Amino acid sequence: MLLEHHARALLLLHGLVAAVLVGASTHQLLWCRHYLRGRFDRARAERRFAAVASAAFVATFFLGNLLYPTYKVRVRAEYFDAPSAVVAEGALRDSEAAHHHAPLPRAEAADLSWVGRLFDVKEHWVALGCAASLALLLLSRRAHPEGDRRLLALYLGLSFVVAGTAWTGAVIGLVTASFRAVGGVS
Amino acid sequence: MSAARRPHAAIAACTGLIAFCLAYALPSFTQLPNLYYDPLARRLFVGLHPGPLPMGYLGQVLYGVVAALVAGCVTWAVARRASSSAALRLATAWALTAVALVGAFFTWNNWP
Repeated sequence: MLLEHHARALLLLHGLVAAVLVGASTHQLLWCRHYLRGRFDRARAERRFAAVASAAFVATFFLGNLLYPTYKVRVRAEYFDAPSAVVAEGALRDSEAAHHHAPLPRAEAADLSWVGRLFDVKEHWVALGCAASLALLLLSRRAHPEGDRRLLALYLGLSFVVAGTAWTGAVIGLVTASFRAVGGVS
Repeated sequence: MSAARRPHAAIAACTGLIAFCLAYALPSFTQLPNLYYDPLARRLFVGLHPGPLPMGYLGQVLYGVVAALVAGCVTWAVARRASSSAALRLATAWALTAVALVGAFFTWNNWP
């Protein structure tokens, strides 16, 4: 499978670049709040955040796409969409917990296909967010509200979309990666 | 009128974003052929809903990027000559609505 042997390193890099994206897009959105009061003294720094957020969005999206084949087969098809694999892993963990005299992991439904569908929701929102970040980058360079106040609604709206989709992607990505990582299967 | 007062760049960005959103969603609710990647065979192919494993995400993004570039460039050229506040308001409203509608469409279709 494409880059399967580098999947862990790619996932780590994907997570680090995503952290930069969440930080930059959140700062950019928060700094835009001054524009509502007509204050543009921080516009230069805000434009820099918009550029960093856009670059980080494209990089995160690209790295995520490199990881996607491995996720699709090894995680989605072989685990989330395979109840027998989830049940077998649960039984193995129960047996190991008993061996170590640890309390049994939480027993829940074996069907984890909802996690795969939740991940799909995230994938679509980040694709839209990535496009919005490029539109925001263009606006920050060529049509900033500092020069024309009529652009404020569009600028703030796109900033909100970029930060919102970045946060959505980060939170759902962490939720997905937490399965098999912390405690029981669910 | 200065360049800042002529919002053709903003209108082009909006139409590009609207085109991206609509074209990205197009293969999901039409019988349009899409580009798929088969992760096991490691090959790209064009097809129609070929099953759960081949990934159509790349094709959807490609549809979106091509539509965004075409719509954005055409609008840039046209709106340079004539762009108004009303056109800007309309483009703003539709760009943000397109993101919300297409996002809601995929959320509804994949809701856990």
